Amino acid sequence: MAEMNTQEYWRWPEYRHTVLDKDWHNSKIITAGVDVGSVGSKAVVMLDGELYAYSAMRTGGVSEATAVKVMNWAIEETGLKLDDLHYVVGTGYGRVNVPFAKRTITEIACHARGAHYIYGPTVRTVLDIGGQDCKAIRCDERGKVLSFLMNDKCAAGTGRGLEVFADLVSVPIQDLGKVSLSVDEEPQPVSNTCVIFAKAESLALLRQGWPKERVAAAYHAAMADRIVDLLMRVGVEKDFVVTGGVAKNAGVIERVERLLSIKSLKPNIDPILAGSLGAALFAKALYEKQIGLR
Amino acid sequence: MTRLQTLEGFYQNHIQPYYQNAHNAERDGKPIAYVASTFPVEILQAMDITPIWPENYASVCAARQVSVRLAEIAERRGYSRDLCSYARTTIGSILTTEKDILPEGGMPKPTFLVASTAACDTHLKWFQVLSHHLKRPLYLLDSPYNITGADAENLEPHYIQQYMSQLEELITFLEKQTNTKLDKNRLRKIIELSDRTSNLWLEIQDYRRTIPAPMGARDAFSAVFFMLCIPATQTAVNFYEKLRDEVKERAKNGIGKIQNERYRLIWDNLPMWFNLKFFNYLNNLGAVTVAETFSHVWTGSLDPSKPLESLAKKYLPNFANCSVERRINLILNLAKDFHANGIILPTNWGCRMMSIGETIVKEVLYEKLGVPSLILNVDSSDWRNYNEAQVKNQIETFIETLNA
Amino acid sequence: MTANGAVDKFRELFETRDAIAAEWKNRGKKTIGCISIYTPEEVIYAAESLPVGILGGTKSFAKANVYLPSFSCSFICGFLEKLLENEYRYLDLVTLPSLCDSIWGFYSIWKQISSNPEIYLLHYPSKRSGEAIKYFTKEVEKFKNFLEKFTGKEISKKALEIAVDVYNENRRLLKRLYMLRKSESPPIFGFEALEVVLSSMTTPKTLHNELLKELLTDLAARQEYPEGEVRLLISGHILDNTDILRVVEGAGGLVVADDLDSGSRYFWSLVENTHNPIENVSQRYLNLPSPYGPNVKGRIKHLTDMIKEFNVEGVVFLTRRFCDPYLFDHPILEQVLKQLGVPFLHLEHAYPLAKASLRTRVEAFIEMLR
Repeated sequence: MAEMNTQEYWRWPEYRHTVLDKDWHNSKIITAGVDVGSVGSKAVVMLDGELYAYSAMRTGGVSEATAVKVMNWAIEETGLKLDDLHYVVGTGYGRVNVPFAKRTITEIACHARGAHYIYGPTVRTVLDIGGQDCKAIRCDERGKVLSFLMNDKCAAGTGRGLEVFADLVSVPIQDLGKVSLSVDEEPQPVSNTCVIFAKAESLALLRQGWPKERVAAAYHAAMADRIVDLLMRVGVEKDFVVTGGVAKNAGVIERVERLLSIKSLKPNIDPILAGSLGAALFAKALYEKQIGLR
Repeated sequence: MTRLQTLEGFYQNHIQPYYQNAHNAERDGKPIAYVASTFPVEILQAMDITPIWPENYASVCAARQVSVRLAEIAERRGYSRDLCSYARTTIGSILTTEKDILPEGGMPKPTFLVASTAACDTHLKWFQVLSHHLKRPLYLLDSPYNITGADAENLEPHYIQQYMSQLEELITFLEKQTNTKLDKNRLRKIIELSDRTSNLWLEIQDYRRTIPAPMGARDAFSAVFFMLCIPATQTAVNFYEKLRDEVKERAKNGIGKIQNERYRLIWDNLPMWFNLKFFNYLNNLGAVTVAETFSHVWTGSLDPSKPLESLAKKYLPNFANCSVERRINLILNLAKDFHANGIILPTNWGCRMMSIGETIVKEVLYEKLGVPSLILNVDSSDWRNYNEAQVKNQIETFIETLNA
Repeated sequence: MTANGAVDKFRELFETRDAIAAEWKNRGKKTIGCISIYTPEEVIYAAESLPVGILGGTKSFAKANVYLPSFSCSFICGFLEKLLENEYRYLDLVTLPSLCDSIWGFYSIWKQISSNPEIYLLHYPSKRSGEAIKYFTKEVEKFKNFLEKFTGKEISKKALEIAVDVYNENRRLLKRLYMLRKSESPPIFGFEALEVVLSSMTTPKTLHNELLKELLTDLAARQEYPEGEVRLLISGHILDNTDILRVVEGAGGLVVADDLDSGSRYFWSLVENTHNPIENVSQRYLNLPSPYGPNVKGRIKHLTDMIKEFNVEGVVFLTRRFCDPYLFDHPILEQVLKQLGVPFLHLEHAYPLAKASLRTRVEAFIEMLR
């Protein structure tokens, strides 16, 4: 009997990593940020404001359990225990469900702060494309939010929209962006009003005989359109950067850059961590305040 | 599907010169007004003020496939995507810095804007926004609400008086703006022309009662331009005489719009200006539109010896100024008189004025005449609200029920 | 989080509004549904009838959507739903102002659906000129004549003068209440202020006046004060329940002022004098700052005055989906605030409320202002 193909194209790989070759026993302030998104959860540990270890995994059915899991996974192999953390801040959709967090701060403030950490003090516009929402944030040189706009009504222009599409064309989600760029000519975008329309139109194109690459291009173009709409409403100022899981999809990012005629800075740290990084940095500031250092 | 000779090259022969003319007026420093539908444009024409209709311009942008691009510009400036697509398109055309994408060079800058409160509330807000961005004054004509939907003959005298006094106020405003005086004789001539245009248009529509119908929706939505935008011109009269003669001839000789006319439809509300081919698609299914609400709501008899009173009697019974009952009765009568066997009720996303009451229209038409209706979710100028596969499916299913 | 019991009475009044109206009817009098802010309620009062502010409600609109398209205003949809579910069976009459297509359309179709309750449309001109005031005065006069016939009660000049006095008193007392919120430590939450104003729209005015006087005395002696990190103003339409304000104030904001149909705009201006009550009433109602018609200047003035007077640090704009008058004004208002350097948050909302999503935005806004 032939084996059933049970590959889940939408499922992106989960991972953890210890970054610094450091002994945390020598650190003064150990903080953590936990970003419980509706699709993915991330945890980050920082030693005196420097990234030490992190983990990223899919958010399960119960936010609280996921928060504990992702935090424990981040500190696995480091020897740290939860109690060793001086201050934890929760952020993201499920931020109120981080039982060991002392404080919650919205993902908007955290992404701005995290982007500042990842990309530097020249950042003025942050685009966060998350699992189920999309945010455009204007910030100042300290990474403080000046204004923002969110789109969380529809999966169009979000990671979830890409997961749906990956399934549709049977391409692993992490390859999707590259696939969409391997076309000679940009096709017309599919509907960007609603992901259900976009999916239906994509299906129709596939049936018409369009190659996957072309359909992917049309889909990514629609996503980029929708994202640019949001960005233009908040106004884009250099330097422009992208955070969130979808930042790794070159197909979306390149098209957004093209439409805006502006290049985004390239990160040295996984941009999916921006929210949790910002949270961990806020945690440091709050801890310093608590012990009277500020 | 036969084409009407008179309408060949309509866009190049009439729409383009209309906008060119307006640009020339701007260049020569002559007064230009942005006008909202239901406004007594005859007064403007009597004072040589060039009327520009943002509604018409929105339909031009849609036909030229740039309306969505312009709407996006308005949306990015904070105008909600749920607002009337006419408004978003024209606001975008005012705000855009890419002037070269504007069809016909865009709308020329107006000297002022005018609107009547008989129009929908959206129109008034839309014009407020245009006035704000263009930094030009907006003059409002306060129209009493024709609450009973009375015909011209049955209007309450104080409504007519009220409207006439508003016209006097309007004239004062216009005289000030243009530094001229309204010539009463000229007004009488204008009224006469407008009356003639109106009568010719109605005559043309009447020939569509013939089986087979000699003219369809695509034709009507082009030709109605004169009736709507510049009724009081000799060009309008001449054009409609020609069109009338052609349509009359066809009706006499049994030349229908399509060869095998199987279904006769009434089309309510607006067309998809970006997709007028849709009517060809209907033709190919054996369906012809025999009447549109749009073609039957702008006319009105005018008596040149009583210009202001005539205008009151023409504009007060406008369906936009009455309750939905008037529209229900209009469609009922059209269905009867034009021997229709189906009604299409397209919605225009966000257009409450036209869509509120559609379900009642549907009910009444079926109850009283056994004529079924189809409500379609489309849009006049924003094709993002149009899902072709879905709509065609609905049409084809509907047509099947007409067979039964 | 709630203040001491001083405001509870008003919440109770508001929550038992149906019973209050029913009791009024039992005394053989009429109840007349209306959109309070835009209705010359004094005329209704003078006919010994109870004006009842109609509300949109927040449930689904399954019944209403049979008659109204999906892009209809949620306020009118909600009201129609309530009518179709028989929740307003105590209303003898509904009077509506001809201000927008949704209301006008609703009037049109209600006439086709039912005559219970009866419906009356009051026509508002769009201008504010002398001619327009004359026209509107005639309309209000017509309304008065209609009410006399409908209720069987003569509406004398004296009765109107008394009505104006009672209503002006209510306005003065509500304004005094609001003025207390100018202080650094306002004595009530924004959601409590809303409850007080909403109850004014559904309670007999003389009773409401008495309770307001008591409230003002109670508040003078108050020890506990609501806490909040930033002083906010809410701007928008008719807010017919406290959900959104509770989310805002639960996130750390303190709503110290508003620019709402069901807030300051309801009572901010008085009817001038009473030698010709119908004319003076008409003039006051015609000059209300509102988004209807092309009159955004009036709105800008009221909004900016409130911001200055109440030392507001941030503005939360509330727009209902598909509400054209507010949506067309909105970008202009944002521009005004940008020029003034006042931060703002725009909450577009539809029912049912997506509380988590609202909360995130509000929290992020408050974080921004800190």
